[in-house]
Amino acid sequence: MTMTRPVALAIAGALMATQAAQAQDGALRIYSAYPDEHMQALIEGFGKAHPDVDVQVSVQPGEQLLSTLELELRAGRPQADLVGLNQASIAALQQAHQAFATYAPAELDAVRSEVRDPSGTSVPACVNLYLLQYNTNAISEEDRPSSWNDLLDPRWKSQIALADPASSQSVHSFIWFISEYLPSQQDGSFGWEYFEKLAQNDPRLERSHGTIRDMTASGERPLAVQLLANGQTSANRGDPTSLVWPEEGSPGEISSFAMFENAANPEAARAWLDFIVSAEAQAMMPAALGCAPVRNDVDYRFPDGTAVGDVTIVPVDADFIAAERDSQIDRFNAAFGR
Amino acid sequence: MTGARGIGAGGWSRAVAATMAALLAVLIVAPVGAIFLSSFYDGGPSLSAYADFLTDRRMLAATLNSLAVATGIAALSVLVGVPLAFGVARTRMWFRGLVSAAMILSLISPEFLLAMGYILMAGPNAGYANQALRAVFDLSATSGPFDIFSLWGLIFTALPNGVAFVFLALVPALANMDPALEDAARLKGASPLRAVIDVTLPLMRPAILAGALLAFATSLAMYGAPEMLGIDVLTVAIREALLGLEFSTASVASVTLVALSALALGLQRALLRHGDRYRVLGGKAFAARRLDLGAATHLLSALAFLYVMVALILPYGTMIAVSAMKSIGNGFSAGNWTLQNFVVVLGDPSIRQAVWLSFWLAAVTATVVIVIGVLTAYVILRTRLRARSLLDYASILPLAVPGTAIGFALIVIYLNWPGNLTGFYGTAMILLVAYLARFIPIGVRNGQSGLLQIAPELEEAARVSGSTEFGALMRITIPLMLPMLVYTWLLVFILAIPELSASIILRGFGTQTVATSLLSVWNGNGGLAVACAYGVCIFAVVSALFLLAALVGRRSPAIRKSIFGGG
Amino acid sequence: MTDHAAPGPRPGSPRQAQDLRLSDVRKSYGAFTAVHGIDIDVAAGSLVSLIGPSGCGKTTTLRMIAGLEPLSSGRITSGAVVLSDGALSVPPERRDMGMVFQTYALWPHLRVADNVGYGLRRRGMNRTEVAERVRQVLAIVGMDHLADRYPGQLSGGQQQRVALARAVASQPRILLFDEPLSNLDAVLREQMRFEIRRLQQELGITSVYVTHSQDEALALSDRIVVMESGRVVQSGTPTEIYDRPRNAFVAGFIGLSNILDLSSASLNGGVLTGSYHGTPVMAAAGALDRAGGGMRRISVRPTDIRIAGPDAPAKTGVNRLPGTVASTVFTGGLVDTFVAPDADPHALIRVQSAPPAPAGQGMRVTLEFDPARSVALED
Ligand SMILES: Nc1ncnc2c1ncn2[C@@H]1O[C@H](COP(=O)(O)OP(=O)(O)O)[C@@H](O)[C@H]1O
Ligand SMILES: [Mg+2]
Repeated sequence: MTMTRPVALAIAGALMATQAAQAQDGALRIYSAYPDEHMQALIEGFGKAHPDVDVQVSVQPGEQLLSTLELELRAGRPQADLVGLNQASIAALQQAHQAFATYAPAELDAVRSEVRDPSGTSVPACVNLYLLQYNTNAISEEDRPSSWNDLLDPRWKSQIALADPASSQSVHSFIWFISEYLPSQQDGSFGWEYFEKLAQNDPRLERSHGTIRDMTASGERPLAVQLLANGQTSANRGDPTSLVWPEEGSPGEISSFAMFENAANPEAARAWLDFIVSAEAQAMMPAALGCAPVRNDVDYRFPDGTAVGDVTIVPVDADFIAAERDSQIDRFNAAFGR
Repeated sequence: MTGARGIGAGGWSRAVAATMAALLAVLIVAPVGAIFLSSFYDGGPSLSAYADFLTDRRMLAATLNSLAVATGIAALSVLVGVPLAFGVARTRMWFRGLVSAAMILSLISPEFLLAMGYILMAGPNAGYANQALRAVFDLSATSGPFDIFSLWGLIFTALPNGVAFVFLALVPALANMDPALEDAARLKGASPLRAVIDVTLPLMRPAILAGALLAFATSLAMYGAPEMLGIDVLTVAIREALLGLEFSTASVASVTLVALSALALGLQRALLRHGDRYRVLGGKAFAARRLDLGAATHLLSALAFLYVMVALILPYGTMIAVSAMKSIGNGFSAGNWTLQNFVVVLGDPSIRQAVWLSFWLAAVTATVVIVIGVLTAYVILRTRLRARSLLDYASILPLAVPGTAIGFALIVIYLNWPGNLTGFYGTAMILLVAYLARFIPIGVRNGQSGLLQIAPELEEAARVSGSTEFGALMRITIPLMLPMLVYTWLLVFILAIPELSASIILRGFGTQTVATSLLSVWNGNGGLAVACAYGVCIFAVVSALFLLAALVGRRSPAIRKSIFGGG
Repeated sequence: MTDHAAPGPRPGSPRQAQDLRLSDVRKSYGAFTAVHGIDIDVAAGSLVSLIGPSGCGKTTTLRMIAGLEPLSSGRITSGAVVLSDGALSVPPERRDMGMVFQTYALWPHLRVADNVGYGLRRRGMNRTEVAERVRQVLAIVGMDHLADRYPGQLSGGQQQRVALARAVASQPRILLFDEPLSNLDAVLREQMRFEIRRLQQELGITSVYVTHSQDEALALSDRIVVMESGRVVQSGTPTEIYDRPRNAFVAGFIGLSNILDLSSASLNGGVLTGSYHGTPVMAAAGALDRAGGGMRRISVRPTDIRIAGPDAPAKTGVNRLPGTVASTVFTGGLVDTFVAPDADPHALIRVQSAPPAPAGQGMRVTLEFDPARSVALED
């Protein structure tokens, strides 16, 4: 039996290494759909008040994170204390697994009421809006579309990019807005026919908004249905792009955080949620997550100069999106003939 | 004439055989079994998953796409690889050394890295190659002529790798061919080219087939490039089914993928059954004779130049350029240059963590794989235990199971009882299990070829001189196999670092690997320019490691041969 | 890393030679039986050769003795120690044997000294003792000046000596040789043959020597065991085997032989009398006890036949066959004369004599041979 020793040793070594990585005291583990560069600013801010907490982040695109969490919850052991996803996705996970603890941070009252999660599961961090982003080298200011409806113009054939609802969680907000919200406002030209017509323009369905941002910047797809956060990143980088606030309005997706019921480090998790809605963190949101603060007492102007306090954001129907996710994907695929 | 010969019948070799059997059962047989069993399970035994699959238009399309892509890549790889191999081994064409180097670099550069370069070059609207061609030929179109986001684009992306498989299988065979075989045809009145076509190429059939089928199988298994290009193939379909938690769809797609790979491997075995018909080695070493093909030489040189440009210089050149851009939208303009993207890559803690994890996984995998490889090969070749042929089959099984399918299988196993008791799900351990399953065939196959070169008498002499079986293995066999073991370790290490297809399915908290984190940087968590900087760094590190291996191996003929002479 | 120290006295100290006994040893590979229940006795300190054509089971037998091959059935014992009993078997490392392989099996990654010293270290000797013993043994085979070379840097003959030194270094109880000289050229082969014999006798180690060369077997052995198709056909001293071959196979395999078919044979005392195509011929009956239905074969060695003139007078008690010389072949030390006997003109009888050639092609001659040197065969 002597011979099995090297194998046994190697495997034991492997076990020890992973165990060591897990058992760090004072660690706060966050699964996040928000890019690393966005999270870093928040972590730095949090670290000033809680220098003893070691914040670790694992970033995955939203839809992938959703399925990772789904599987980890089935295995009975989510690997993190907190999760950063949009409100609809957290609601969906909660519906299926009741895995999250409810928690109301002390300053939750300062948060605009229309974005708060009535169930108390998720804590809103900021509002991310769907806008039009275009490449200023490829499209002049006069030519640029000014409404969602303008995207149906045949001259944008093979120029548009849009996220694929099968792999992006966020775009469900946009699809809800077009297929459910606008028709409910008696706007006859929307609904699923919109997507059928949009399909004629052969938009590129990408897996993530980050890829779309780069495609718009490079001119590969000079026009895109994009999230405000990515428009902000483009602006920070000096990409030749600009944003349009469509005439029909914008759905506001609520970027949120929630803590797991059996979080390994619940104090640190609550401290993070407290921090997220603090005025200090909210002031960082535009620069950090690239989205609008959820407190009215924090000043913010959208790229077109509108002050955040002056607009009514249409919060998306998180419950509808959570419940109808699969059928929305099917309807979307049908509209696109896939 | 004789079968396995050896003395391994004692308790020790039984114990080793039992341990290896247990390991292979856990690492390989269980996952493969899980794929098949889960495809027949839907609350109870059922064929409904297959019925659904057959009526699902997207799944059928994905199957056809997979087949079309793999067939296309295999065919084109032969079309390009054979002339290049012939050119390098047997003619005086230019760029011979360059082509050989480019082939090896193609082999170690993961296809999703190339996909990044090609998307930047051949995106229909803004790809640099498209822009340049439209400018040069004054085309009025605003898009094309190339569209990388197509089936052809995918084939093109994986082609350098496929060509390298054919090339590396063929060059040693060509170099070792007895020139007398061609001379015989010349004496019967054939021109040099005729002799090549009538004698040489038919004799090279096994090598060409081996390369082509390897290209076919790896193309079927490829995940990164099709996902980036947005082409629905089976691997992407499996991943998408998993994202939607449709396990039965994922399992049938996996079974289909495994069946196609197994078919290809089986076909190769069947076609190469009469191996001795192709035995072309004379007894001695030959200096490969170079033919003078006249004008045809220049055609070969042009093809060689094209390959080096397209497979290596253009894509990586583009990536290097983009990696130094502030904004990809401002292109090659003054003031758009920066090293900031490299600063981001080198400073990002999650990238650092991913790189560290990949190196750790690759090192542990390579180490465990050679231990399992040597011991399994030992049981197979040096004992007469009845189970040894089972070990042989089990150990090569993963060759037919793409990483995506292994990833799926491990989810099934480690989510359910009793696998869930291990707590592996979501940790680095499940990645290790996947990597071991993927790379054990390399360990066992190399272990066998290494062991075959060592006469059993050398071990027997040690036994008679007073060594136990284990002592003989440690003091005689392993030292003699050392060059092969070092080479295998490096090979597995280099192949494991960019592993994507299983890693992405199994990633959990903090278990991003180099490939998954690079893909997520590309997909927006950083952006194209940062991704290019990251990719360039990875490629540089892997190439440097390879160079190191080659330098180390220069001392050992065995390594030199296995690195540069195919294997 | 748990090599067992072998039992028995420490190498270097004088020790009692042990005998070796194979009883009804059988070996099958699946349906094919390579060795059919053979019995071999090797007396303590003696050398026994196993000889037979390729594939007859010599190597298999030797490997079973070494413990490298499990027995299908039978026993192998040495002194009071049971080495193998059916499937039960003492592992090779605890049999205290030395073996010289046909391919030498020198370990290419170890220097000559380390090759020779390997077994000593496994038996627990310390470094200085090993170095001293290695030097002694290499001196015996005349290789002490090449102790630091690697095997790849040695000639075939030198490798052979190292293999020999390695086998005897630990003063094993039993030495095994598997065609150790078959890869050497003729001159070297002869030289090594004597060295092996000298060494074996000097050290007094019980030895089994596998060969397919009759010269080696005759020159080296205390006893010879002739094998055919996995069976022992005859065993005995070299002279016994040469002078009294039991059958045509042994007669032909050990030395050259003319086989004559006799009819109307009858046994009378120790003498077999019969007719060779009408000519009366007598032979020693040997162990034969039945005339076997009148049809019998005898063996006559070419060196035991004299060529006389056609008119030479008949002598009583000497067999005579008139015939015609078909050809003569000069082979250096001997002349081969092939004679077609008148009794059976299609046959050729081979005669060997010292040069010059006793008769030329086409000449009429009479062949004379002594019945005492003509052996009746059992088949
Ligand atoms: N491992 C084996 N499996 C099957 N047959 C074997 C094996 N080893 C030897 N044999 C057969 O046993 C017979 C005797 O072989 P061997 O002892 O090597 O003959 P030799 O007398 O030439 O040394 C041969 O016919 C050989 O083919
Ligand atoms: Mg033999």
